[in-house]
Amino acid sequence: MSSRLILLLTAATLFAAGFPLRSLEHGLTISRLRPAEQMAEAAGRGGPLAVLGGMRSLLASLCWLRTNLAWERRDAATTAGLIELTVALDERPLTFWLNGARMLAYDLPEWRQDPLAPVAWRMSVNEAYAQQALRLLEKGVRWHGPDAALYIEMANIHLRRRNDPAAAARCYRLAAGQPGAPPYAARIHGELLRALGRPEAALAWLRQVLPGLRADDPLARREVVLARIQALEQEVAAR
Amino acid sequence: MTEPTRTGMGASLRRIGLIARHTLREALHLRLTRLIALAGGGLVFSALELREFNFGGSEGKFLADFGLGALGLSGMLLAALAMAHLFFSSIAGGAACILLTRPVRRWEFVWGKLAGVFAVLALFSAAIGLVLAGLLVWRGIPVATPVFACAVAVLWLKLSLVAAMTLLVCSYAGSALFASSAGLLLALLGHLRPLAGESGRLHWLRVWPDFELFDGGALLAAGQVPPAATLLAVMVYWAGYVMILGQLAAYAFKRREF
Repeated sequence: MSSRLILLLTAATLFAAGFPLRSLEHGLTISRLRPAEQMAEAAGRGGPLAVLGGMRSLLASLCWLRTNLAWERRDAATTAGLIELTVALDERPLTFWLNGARMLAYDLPEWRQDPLAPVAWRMSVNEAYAQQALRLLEKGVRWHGPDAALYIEMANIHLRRRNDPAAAARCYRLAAGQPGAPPYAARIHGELLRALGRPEAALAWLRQVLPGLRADDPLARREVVLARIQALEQEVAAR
Repeated sequence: MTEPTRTGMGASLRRIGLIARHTLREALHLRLTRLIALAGGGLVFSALELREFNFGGSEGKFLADFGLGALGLSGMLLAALAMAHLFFSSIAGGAACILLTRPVRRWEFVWGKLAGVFAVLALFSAAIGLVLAGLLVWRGIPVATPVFACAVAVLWLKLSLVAAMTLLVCSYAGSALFASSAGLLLALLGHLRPLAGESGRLHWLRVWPDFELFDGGALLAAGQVPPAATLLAVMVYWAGYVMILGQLAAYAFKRREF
């Protein structure tokens, strides 16, 4: 029997029998599957071993080491590329997402700054890198799953690099809604609402948050929230 | 070819069992098996040195991820190389011809070989899994036994699929080198299957088994055993592909000329 005939037979049988088996795949999530987008990025950027499904922690850590070496050399393009590869190899550790985004948003634009350049140009560089960092964190939300730390980092970038308190407030609100979110995310959301000239919304928000703050938890700063509610009540009444 | 004197499923299963036992014994005496097992065990232990390069998760997660990765990679090599070597050594040594002149059907020979390699891979997975579990316990890292056993078992399913893919190539290929290389390439295809997507030019690749579904490392990281229905569905999925690949191999081998 010719091998060509066997090849054809194999293909035909696989098509006939393989397609019904595909219907089973949708229910077969024994663990969280890596998105195809992440697999493609890892494979395309040269991480075939991780695509083979093993030793992702080690490969991502080695890649992170190379990222830091590139960062020390102030090689912006290589640093940005290696950050993307690191998170594509292993999306699980938050440290790669957070520190990668901080490098992109705060360090890389500084390397490109020219003190003689116009302010508009410097701001456009800052904005471009801030957007790149935000895209990385949004990818983090998709691949790693929603996490308060990712939203807080996005909020910080909006606030400190982009001067956009409205977008920062939105991100702090999202962070506050995540399980295990630090209490300060909700407090800062309230503060930003107030700074944006929306004291009624801030008051309503802090009143909503207050019952969830434990009195015995020093990090919850319940007394601070209570004082802020009183101040906001006076502010709203005076209007 | 002489037709078997004893017929019936029981007799066939007995003959398959005999061939599988013989294959297992042969595999355990192979230097290749011992070498890969040693390399796999060594890789697991090397995680102790390599953890200095871990910047992501905790030590426990790193050791488990690296150890299961070592099991997956070395097991995949063993599945492709041992399957091809055992298949072609029995043809080259004349053992296959002697067996086939006796009341053994060709499909029984093929399934016997496959079952023997499955048993080798099960022993290999259990051994490396025990080494890894011992290492984790020694480092004082708590191991959830059911989840760990489930992760190793899921990896064994993947390795056995690689063996079945290699067997399909063996059934008509002319050399062990070609068969094992092609087996590894087919395994790579299984790992890259998620890239095929729901639509597009690579859509047809979705007929191939998706190895992402057998990610033991991710299962261990998740820290909980999946529901019984999901595990059953995984088994059905695996069994479906083993049946397809095995039967295709048996069909091709039936028409093979010696």
